[in-house]
This record gives sequence, structure tokens and C-alpha cells, in this order.
Amino acid sequence: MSIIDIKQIEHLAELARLKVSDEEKDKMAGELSAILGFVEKLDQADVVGVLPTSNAAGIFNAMRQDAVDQYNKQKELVKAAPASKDNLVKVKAVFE
Amino acid sequence: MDIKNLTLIGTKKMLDDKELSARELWRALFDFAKKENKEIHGFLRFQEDESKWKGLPIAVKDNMLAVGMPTTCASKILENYQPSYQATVIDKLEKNGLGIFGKTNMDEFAMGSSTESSAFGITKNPHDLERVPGGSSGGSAAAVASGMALAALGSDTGGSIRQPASFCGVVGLKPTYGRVSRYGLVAMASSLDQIGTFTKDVKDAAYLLNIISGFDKYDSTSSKEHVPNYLELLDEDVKGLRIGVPKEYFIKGMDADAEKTVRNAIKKYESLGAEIVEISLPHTEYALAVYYILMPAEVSSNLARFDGIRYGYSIERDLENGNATLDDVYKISRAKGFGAEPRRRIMLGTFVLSHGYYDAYYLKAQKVRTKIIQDFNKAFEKVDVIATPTSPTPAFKIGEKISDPLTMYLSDIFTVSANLAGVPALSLPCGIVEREGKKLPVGLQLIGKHFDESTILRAAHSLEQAL
Repeated sequence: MSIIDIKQIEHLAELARLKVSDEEKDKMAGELSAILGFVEKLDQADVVGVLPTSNAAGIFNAMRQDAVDQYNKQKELVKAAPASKDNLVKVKAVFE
Repeated sequence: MDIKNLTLIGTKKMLDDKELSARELWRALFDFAKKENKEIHGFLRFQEDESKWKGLPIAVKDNMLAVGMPTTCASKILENYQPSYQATVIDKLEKNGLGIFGKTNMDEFAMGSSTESSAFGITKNPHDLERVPGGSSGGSAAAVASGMALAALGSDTGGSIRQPASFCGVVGLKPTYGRVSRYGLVAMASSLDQIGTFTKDVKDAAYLLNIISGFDKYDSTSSKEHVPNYLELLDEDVKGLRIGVPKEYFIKGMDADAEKTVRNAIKKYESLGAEIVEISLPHTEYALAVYYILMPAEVSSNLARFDGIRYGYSIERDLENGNATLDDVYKISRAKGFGAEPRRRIMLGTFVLSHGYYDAYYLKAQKVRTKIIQDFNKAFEKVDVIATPTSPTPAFKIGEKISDPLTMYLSDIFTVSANLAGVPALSLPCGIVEREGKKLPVGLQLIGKHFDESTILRAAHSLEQAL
């Protein structure tokens, strides 16, 4: 039984860039543990020598010409950002 | 004009014969739907721009981008998002004489089985207002079932078209993975997501599939496989058709009345000349577990794009002071923008992909997925179509399952396998059960081979005519 504790929740929240309140940490630890308990039934499946599947309809290596396709709505895209300057997306300082 | 029972094909004929103008049709439907929607809440918004009232009106789930109105995914994080480009399916609808009538409610980011996780209010089942319409495309299903829409598009990642179609008593089709372009569909779990249709009958499903299918250079997972005319073969009978009934889909915990209704429908096929074959899909018991590893893993990756930097909700807009750091913008925007279910799935997905757990969860699940596909391949050597219940129960009550995520997840138990295997599947209304004086629809699920939508449509059409 894989039990997720508060410390792991904090670590995952950091990886996922998600602020989680103290109250929610506790609840999430319980819910995630229950779901992980459920999926552990996969341990009974015999998959020795079986290859993993990532595309179920068998579409592999979709190739196309390495050509530029122009997108002419650059201004609209920048406008969608919460902050912009000189038609560029503005973000907080990356280095403190 | 019987506004509640209009079909696409029937209405197209009325328009073509000039019995009715598009303007009259849109006005009548708009007035009816606006009123009806106050109770059902299947629509988040309607097409208010009357210059766009052209052709056949169709409803679209609010996770497909249509220029000129917001696309929200029923999430606060996209509350005011105005798309700058349009989904391929929307382009195809418009090129083929259909117009976007409105955007329908859904579980937030298509995560749920009841439409209760929408950030903008729940949708009610038109057959019983105390019950859920199913999910995640519950708004589309309820809109078609109540007559507010002639037809609708939805998306199906683990049953999100078929389960609500079953709960609301309409025809729901999830095509083969790769059949319909997903360019402009907000991604949830990319190896499973597929756009499909809600219609009042099987003929309309074939009509819509003709329009939306085909390769798209903007979706590298879309298929170049030939698109047949799905309407053409519809009228053929099912004599000699081999219909497989997998024993793993008739399980303990299945609603007894619903099971009886489904079994009667399968019996009906026998009287129509089809051959019923008992089959086994032995890895069915693992399907839901595989799904609840792969899906959140892909969710955690796809939803990383909502970062409070480029579009959507951002604390940057709220904070006038400059104290927030870049990290704050990410973490707080995501915490405030996403509801409980997306947050839960992001965390779960991050866990199964994280260092030390990847092999035990994600890789293992991908391998069991291969076994599930092999089950289907083997079964389809013996049969042409597989028939199962769509859902273990009819529509459940509002509030009944929302507080326990795992119980909610179990309502997908019969539908996730088709997504894992990438095969097409359809839910057809096959009868009703009575609960507290209300008549609740039951769905029969028909699953086909890869790219063989024609056969499940034909089988569905044949039973639809006979019931």
C-alpha cells in the first residue's frame, strides 16, 4: 500500500508549481492514497516481455516537411497575456 | 415545427425545400433554448451574434475553440479566454453549412462523470432534474436530450460522450483515435482524447461524422485512413453480423434493471438475424486502474501550460504591487484558477511521473494497456461488434458521488477500455428504467474495430429501427 504523506504532497506541489493550503494537503494525501491503493491491483497483471503502448491506433512517426507556417496573430497572442511591454509578454524577474 | 424533435437531416431538408428559413429556425430555437436553459443549464452561452445565424445550428462543448466567443473549459482559469484561432472541427462544421449555436457546460477541463465539477454551475438531467446528466460532456448531452440543440459535439477521454449520452437518452459516438482532428480541442489526456457527436438518432451521427472526420496537418495524431461515406451503409441489415458479449462487463454491482434492459436489446439483435457470441476480454478488470494512471500523468503535463504568464487567469492582473515573484505567479495563479478535480489530477499525475515511481506506475500501466489492446484484437478475430452496457447504472442523483473521487471514477468502468484501445464506440438508448416515478434512459454500448465506425453505426441503426 503506497501511502502519500504530507511531506510528499509538499514535494509534488513544488514540482507541479501549485500552491496547496495546509488544510488541502491533508485531504489530498488521503484522496491520493486511496486512488493509488485502487490502482495497485495492476501488480497482479503479468506484463513480462510486454512492450508499452503510447499510441493505441498505431500511428507512428507522423512526418511533415520542415517548413515554416506563418501565424499572423502575434499581437492578439501578446494581448492575451496579463502583462506586456513593447509587444512582448512581460514576466517577473527570473533572477532575484 | 416540432422544435424539440428536430434532427439535422430532417431540418436540412426543410431548409433546402424552403419550408423554413435559417433565420426563423434560429429565432425559434434560440427563444426556446434560452427559456429551457434556465432550468437545465446545459449551455454556458449562446450565439448572440445574429449575423452568424446561418445554416443548421449545432452546440459545441466549451473545450473547443470557436473564434468570436470565449472558450472556458468550465474553469476559472480560462473564464475570459478569447481564442485567437479556431478548432479544425469548427471550421469543418462551418464549411459544411452548420453554425455554432452555443457552447455547452462540462466538468472542469473535462474531468468528471457528472458535470458537477464545472466552475459555472451544474447541469441537470432533462429526464429528472434531481439527477446529473453524466459527464464530462453533460451540457451537450442535456442540450440535445431537452431539444435545446439539434445535435452537439463533445469530447471523450474515458467515456465523456458515451456515459452522458446513456444518462440522457441520446446517441453518443466516440470515433476511433485519430479519426477526427483535435486541433483546437483543449487537451486533457492526449493519448486518449477524441472529439465525437451527440445526436437524436443514428443517421444524424453518421451525417456529422462524415463532416468532421479526416486527416489534418495541424494534428499529427490524426489519421490518413480513408473516410468512407458513413450514411451509405446505414440501411443494411445485421443478418450474419457477429456480436460479441464480453462476460467481464456483466458484473456484481451492476444495476439489475439496467442490466435486464441491455440484455433484452442484445436479444433483439438475435431476432434481427445477428449471431450472439460470448467472448472474454480478460484484462478488463485492469482498465480503470490503467486509466487512472495514464490520464492524470498526461493531465499534469498538458495543464502545465496554464501558468499565469501567457493567457488565462493570472494573479498578475489582481496584484497592483510588484511584490509577487515569478514563482508566486505560477503557483498562486494555478491554485486559484484550477478547481479541486484538476488540482487532484495534476498532483496524482505528477506523482506517477516522478522520480522513483515512473516504472512502477506509468510504465507498468502502458504495458497493461498493450494487453488490453491485445484483448480487443483477439476478440475482433471472432466478432464484428462488441455489445456491453454503457454504464453500470442509470443517472445518479446530484451530490451523490461528488464528495468521493474514487466512487465517481468507478462510473467510467465500462467506457475507459475503448479509449485505452483507441477503438470506436457508440452509446445507443435501448430502453428505460423507472426510479421514483421518473423514466431514466439506459444505454447500450457498441464497440467496433479501429476505423470501422461504419459497422457500429449500421448495427446501432438497425436496433434503433427495431426498438
